[in-house]
Amino acid sequence: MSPPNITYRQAIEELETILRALETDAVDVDDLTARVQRSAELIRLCKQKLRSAETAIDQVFENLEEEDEEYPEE
Amino acid sequence: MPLYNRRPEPGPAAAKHLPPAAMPLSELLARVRQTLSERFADSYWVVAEIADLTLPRSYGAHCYLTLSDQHTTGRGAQLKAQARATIWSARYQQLSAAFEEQTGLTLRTGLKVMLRVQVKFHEQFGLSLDVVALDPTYTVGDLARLRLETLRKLQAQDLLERQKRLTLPLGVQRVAVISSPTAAGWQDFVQQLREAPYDFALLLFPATMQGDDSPASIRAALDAIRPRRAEFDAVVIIRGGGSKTDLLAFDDYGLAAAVAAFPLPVLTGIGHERDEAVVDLTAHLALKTPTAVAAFLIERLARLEAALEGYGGRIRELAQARVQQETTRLNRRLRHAHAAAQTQLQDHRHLLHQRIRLSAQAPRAQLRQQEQLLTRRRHQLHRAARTALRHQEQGLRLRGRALAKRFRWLHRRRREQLLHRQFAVQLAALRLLHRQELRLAQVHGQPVPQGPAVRLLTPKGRPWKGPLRPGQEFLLRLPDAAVVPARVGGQLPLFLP
Repeated sequence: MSPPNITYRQAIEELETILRALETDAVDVDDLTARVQRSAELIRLCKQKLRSAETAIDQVFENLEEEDEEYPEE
Repeated sequence: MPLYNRRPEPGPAAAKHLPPAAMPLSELLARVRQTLSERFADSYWVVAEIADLTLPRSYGAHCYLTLSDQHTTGRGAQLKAQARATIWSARYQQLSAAFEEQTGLTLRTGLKVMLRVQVKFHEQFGLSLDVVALDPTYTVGDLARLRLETLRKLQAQDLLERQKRLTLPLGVQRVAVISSPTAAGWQDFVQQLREAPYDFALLLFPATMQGDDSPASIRAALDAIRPRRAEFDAVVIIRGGGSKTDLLAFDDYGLAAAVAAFPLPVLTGIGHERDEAVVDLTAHLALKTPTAVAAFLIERLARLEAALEGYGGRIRELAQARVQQETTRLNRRLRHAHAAAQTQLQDHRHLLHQRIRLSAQAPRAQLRQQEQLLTRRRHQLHRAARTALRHQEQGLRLRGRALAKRFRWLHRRRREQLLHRQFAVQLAALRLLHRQELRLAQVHGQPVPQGPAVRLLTPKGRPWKGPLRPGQEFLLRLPDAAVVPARVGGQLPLFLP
């Protein structure tokens, strides 16, 4: 339902909106579950994004080795 | 002591005293040396730029410099003075340490320095200056001035604030790093990010971080990042593990401007202890060291995560509170509805009872009314019957009486008629008798005896005296001595003698 490449800012803004709606009691009870699910989904996505793909840094090291060959010393 | 003493011009002065005769060069130069050593016996403070520099190759070696001075004459012409200078080994150790300490810089070409020099002349090597002292404060001041100029220029082009106006993404995870791949600072940076619980995608853009080439090298790295900027959240320029003092490259205007104008936020961690480099001022955020940058990035993600969890918690709390509230409300409504239903039920029951009562009452009342009516009717009937009976009785009685009267009348009349006839018959019989007797008497000639007549007697058998009144009873004594009771009926005397 949400694009996987949602930015943290968008997520936070949406969470903020949901929170504000909840705080002001603007949410219909029928909507409540959907909203809460949406917020959980957003948080899950963001946390996943925060901790995902362990490969990234290893990639750097591969890069580093390649670069090392090009720049043998400083 | 003059800051800027005049360039010694020993040549023409010496020439005046020279005889026209030729002399060996060595003698001339010896005289020059002699004169110079006498004339410039002292040491002098001079200001110059280091045009070239040969640092000691090893401990105990000396430092050779080329000093130059760009000088504008009153007519606007550019004059350049230049001299070699030497800092002898022992003094170099002392001076360079003090200089580094104060300026944060090693001696390098391009620096403006103020030095106290002694003029030396050697027949073979020519003029040279022995550096006996170095005033770092001059360099500091000069660098500060340069820096200030750079800053003014940047300011004028609105480059100081441009990076600050960029928004750093909440989570900086895709990072383009400009560093020397061999620098310990880079290794530390990678290591620290790797140990963090968060995911970082780093891509190194190698650059020379030290020396005169570094501004161009770093700019080249920036240029390499620019077309791929969509792949990154930020650029990090780190430097560490190298010389602490070699930071002049980061005051470079071109580099500072390139950083300022870069479309992605640039974070710096170029490891220095003195005031911020100009690049730091134009960057989005300047941190002291690569480690500090790594810590900042991790902290930022940690804060982001905490914020997300905070939102989660708060939303959950609110939602639960909301559900609780709704449940309560629902329950209350349920109770209300229940109560209302019961009340209504009660009301309806009441109403029903009332109606039942009412509806029972009407027939009962009607019944009672009917009963009353019936009773009344019965009474009426009774009365009417009695009245009718009485009437009938009365009528009957009347009729009876009338009948009796009539009957009596008829009877009387009949009796009177009968009596009348009886008397008529008796009379006729008597007359017949009388006539017979008369005839008999005539026949026999005897007088006819006085025959007995009908006499009125009282009921007691005495002779009636006085008048007769209607209704009076009496006895009749017939001539044959038979006595019959009679009564006077009506006004008329029934019997006429």
